[in-house]
Amino acid sequence: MGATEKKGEGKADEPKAEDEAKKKAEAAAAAAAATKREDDRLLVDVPAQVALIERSAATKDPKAQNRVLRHSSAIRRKLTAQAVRNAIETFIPEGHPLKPLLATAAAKVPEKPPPPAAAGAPAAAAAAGAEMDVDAQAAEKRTAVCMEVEAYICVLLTTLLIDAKLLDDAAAVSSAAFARVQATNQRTLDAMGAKVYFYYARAHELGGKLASIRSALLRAHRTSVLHHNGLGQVVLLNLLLRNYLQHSLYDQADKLVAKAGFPESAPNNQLARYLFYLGRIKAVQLEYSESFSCLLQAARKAPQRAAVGFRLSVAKLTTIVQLLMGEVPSRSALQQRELEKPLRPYLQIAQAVRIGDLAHFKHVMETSAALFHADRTHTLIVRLRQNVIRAGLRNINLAYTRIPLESIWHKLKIDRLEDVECIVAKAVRDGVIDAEIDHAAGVLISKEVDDLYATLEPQLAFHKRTSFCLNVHNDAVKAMSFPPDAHKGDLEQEEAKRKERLREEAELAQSLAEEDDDEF
Amino acid sequence: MEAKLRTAVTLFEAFKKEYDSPTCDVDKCTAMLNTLKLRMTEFTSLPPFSGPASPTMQQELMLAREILEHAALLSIRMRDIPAFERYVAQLKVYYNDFATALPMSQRQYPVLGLNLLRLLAQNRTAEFHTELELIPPALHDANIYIKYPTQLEQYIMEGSFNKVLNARADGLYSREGEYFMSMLTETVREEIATCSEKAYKSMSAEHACNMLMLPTLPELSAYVEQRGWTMSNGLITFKQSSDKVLELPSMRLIHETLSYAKELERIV
Repeated sequence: MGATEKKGEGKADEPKAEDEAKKKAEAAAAAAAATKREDDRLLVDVPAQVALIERSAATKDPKAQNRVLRHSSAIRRKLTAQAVRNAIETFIPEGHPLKPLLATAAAKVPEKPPPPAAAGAPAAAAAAGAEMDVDAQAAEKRTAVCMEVEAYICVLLTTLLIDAKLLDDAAAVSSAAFARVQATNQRTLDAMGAKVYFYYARAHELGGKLASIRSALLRAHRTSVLHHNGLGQVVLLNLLLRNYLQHSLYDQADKLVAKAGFPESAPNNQLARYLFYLGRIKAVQLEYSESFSCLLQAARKAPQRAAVGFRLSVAKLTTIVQLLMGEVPSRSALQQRELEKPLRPYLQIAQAVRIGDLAHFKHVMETSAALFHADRTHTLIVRLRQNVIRAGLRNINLAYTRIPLESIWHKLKIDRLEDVECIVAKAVRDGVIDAEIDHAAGVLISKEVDDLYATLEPQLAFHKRTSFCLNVHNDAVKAMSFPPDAHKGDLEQEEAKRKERLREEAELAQSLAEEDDDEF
Repeated sequence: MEAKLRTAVTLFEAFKKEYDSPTCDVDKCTAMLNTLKLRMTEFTSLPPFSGPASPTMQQELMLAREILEHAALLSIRMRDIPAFERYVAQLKVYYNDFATALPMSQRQYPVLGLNLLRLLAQNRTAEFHTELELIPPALHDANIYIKYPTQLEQYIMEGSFNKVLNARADGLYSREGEYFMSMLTETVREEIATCSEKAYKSMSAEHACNMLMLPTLPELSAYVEQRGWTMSNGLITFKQSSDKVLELPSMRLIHETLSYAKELERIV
């Protein structure tokens, strides 16, 4: 208990009366079992977060707000309905347009079932909560609430409702919050507003009403572009892309990407998301190498430890796209620590494509069809069939200088003999193999492999790598940040140095001129 | 509103009768279609509509959808591909956005399948796949109208051109698909020709006829001329891409080297 009290006292800017209230609440809850303490601390936690947000809004310093947002996932895990109800009571003033909606929605959330040891706890906690409400209202009597706090409470409530599977209420609350945020033009609201947008879309997605919010999101995106609200812009862009891709509207998504720019200042997580969506779009449109580079970047920008689900999706898509490009993904990429097991079907596919075994490929496709459908990679995997044939063809081409088409037919298990000739011809045209067909003799003659170093290939590779390194360097220079006024102190010194240098140069010039004179 | 709808329905019935009759007069159909389209503009609940839905909304939407479907099919008969493309674009609104509000149209998949066939015939593979993604994956194998173009696409991609030709003989689409299939044959022939150029040095005329699906020798010789090949003694020789002498792309190299110099200058 001591720790929590200290925390309360440590906050100098909180009124004494609230401390009293907390102490009372905690005293009542102290009777409950030890497991209940966690929740009680949250009763304190939410006001503390709100105080941070208020301070950040007043000083226009986004750091404190960012800190709150960073903790949001930890808070979400521990959040209780009572904590949110208290927060609504305390911080949203009477007569506020959202108050009735928020209060009724919050009232619907059932308390988490307490562990059996603490059977008496809920009653005690409820009593404590009620007591605190009375005190808090008497003490604080908030007459106004700043938009940031309002948005924060709405976000908390929405997450609570989503976790409690009350999706309709979550959608209603988030829609209301969305409308409020839209109506406000305040730069300090950007970060919190982005959160509101996100949960607005999330609540609707889980409720299966994704299509209905599309135009609202588009409108919000336009507004945030006009307001130079970079964060809102990227979040909304990603939400829109997700929205389109969920409905397989690749055409619209592609057009959106082409028209809407992606601000450079975007945080890495959003950038990773964006690149993933972009990779998906490009993969569907058969632009595999572009898709691959997007996905690669997405994997690099994504958090390296957390976000397993995201990394898994990226890894799955990357594997398929790489195979479609005719490359074989490295084994280590498919055997990362947490991802190894879910990636196993993809590993099997990769193996089948590598060896060029059509039967094995078909077998894997059939056994894991449900998984591929769920991952929405099935249509891409279907396209791999030709790559399997070609991989087999390439192996044959490397091993034999001259082979009858009939043997190829047997080896690759192609349906009909007549097809073999065309398939081989197409592989030659696409540059998969370097060979020639002699129709009269019915054989495939491999051409000798040229010396690669006699071509321009190494030079191209060199250029590619050099420009990559130079780009990395330039990006690093651009990304360096300096404290705003650090250079000012040096300025005078620099000025003095510059004068000194100028003087020296002038002297030198003079002496040189004199020497010249001497010579003549 | 009711009255307008009723006149449109009667007009449409007449149109359908003409359209379905074996001796269909295309010009007459087009004229009727134009009046129908004018009637359609008077419907208040068609997209993009705003305001409250009228009580006859569902009927209006259904009728409009059917008219557009027929219009799309008619435009194929008239070999007007841009018009077909436009009608399909309009129809997609009904198929996607009103999917829950309206009962499924029995012509939906035939029309979408024809659209896929069109994209394939025009060699617009990226768009083909974009469109294909819109169709639920379960139907790719189950629905015959969708399976047909997807199968064809796979054959083309792997190079089994013979199968494409055989599929044409199956003739899923009796009237409308025929036009696209002949377009597709053209596309496939071009593919085969470019493949052959690369893969063969020479080829007997007989085999070439077979491969290129050209029934007679004169047709073949015309085609050979058009591609710039040479034919003598029943043997076609493809124009060999003579071994290119390795040429230094000097301008590019200069450009690249200068850019390295510039960048290095900036770093040091």
